[in-house]
Amino acid sequence: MEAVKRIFGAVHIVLAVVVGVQFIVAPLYDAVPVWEILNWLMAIGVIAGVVFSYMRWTSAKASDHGERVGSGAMLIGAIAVLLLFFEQWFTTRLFASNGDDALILDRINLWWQVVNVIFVIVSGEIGMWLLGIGHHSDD
Amino acid sequence: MSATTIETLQRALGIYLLVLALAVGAQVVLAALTDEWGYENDVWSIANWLIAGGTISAFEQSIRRALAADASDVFERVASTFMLLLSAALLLIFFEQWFAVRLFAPDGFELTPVRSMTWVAVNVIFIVVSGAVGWKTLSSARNRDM
Repeated sequence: MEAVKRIFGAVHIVLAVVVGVQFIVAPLYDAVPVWEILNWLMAIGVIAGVVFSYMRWTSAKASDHGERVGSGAMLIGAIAVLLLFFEQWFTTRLFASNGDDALILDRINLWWQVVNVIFVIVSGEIGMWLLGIGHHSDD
Repeated sequence: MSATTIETLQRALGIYLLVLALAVGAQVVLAALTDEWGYENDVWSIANWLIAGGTISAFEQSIRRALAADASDVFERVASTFMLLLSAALLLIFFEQWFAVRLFAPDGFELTPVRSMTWVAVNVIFIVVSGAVGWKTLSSARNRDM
């Protein structure tokens, strides 16, 4: 199990870095084809994120208040990004019927900004927890 | 680098972040009162470069604080983690917005209502993060002196 955690930890960190960099540099070039590939990887990342966050939450000791709060916040963040990502992905990409209304496209862009920022933060946090970076334990 | 030099730099960084938070705050309040947001004007063009530096510094200081947080101090752990997440979010949102709307905006680009709203959000988050990180950096340097 430790090996699986380490592999997924590295995957989450790499995914957070790649999405973060792509999010910032996307205005410099035609980024749509890259997003189309990245969205599939992000879909795997958000599902794995919820699974690992749930595992952390259920294993948190009742006496360790810091870990209880941290694991709860991580689970809430992972579920939020899962719901936001899939709703946004399905309605604006996979099964899209957006038309070309400028205001609608502008709002879609705003929600992708929200999804990407939360994804980077949650995925990075999950990756660091899986790799044991910067996380304290009261043991 | 000597400990004194590092403390002087920390103090200077803290003052820089605090002054920047106050300056951006004053600019936002002024814009709100006059309803002249003027995100295309020269003041914001210069301010954005200073904010870029402040955003990176605040993120770096937040990482240091989170890593140095005492494991037994739950409040410090929660507060430092929260500030780290907020500064990470600011870093992403600010640079994406700055690149897309100003630095690498296509010819004829016009600020949309949503993008305009994002600028306000970026500025408000920056004031909070820069002010909090600046204050903490300054008080940490002062505590080391005592």
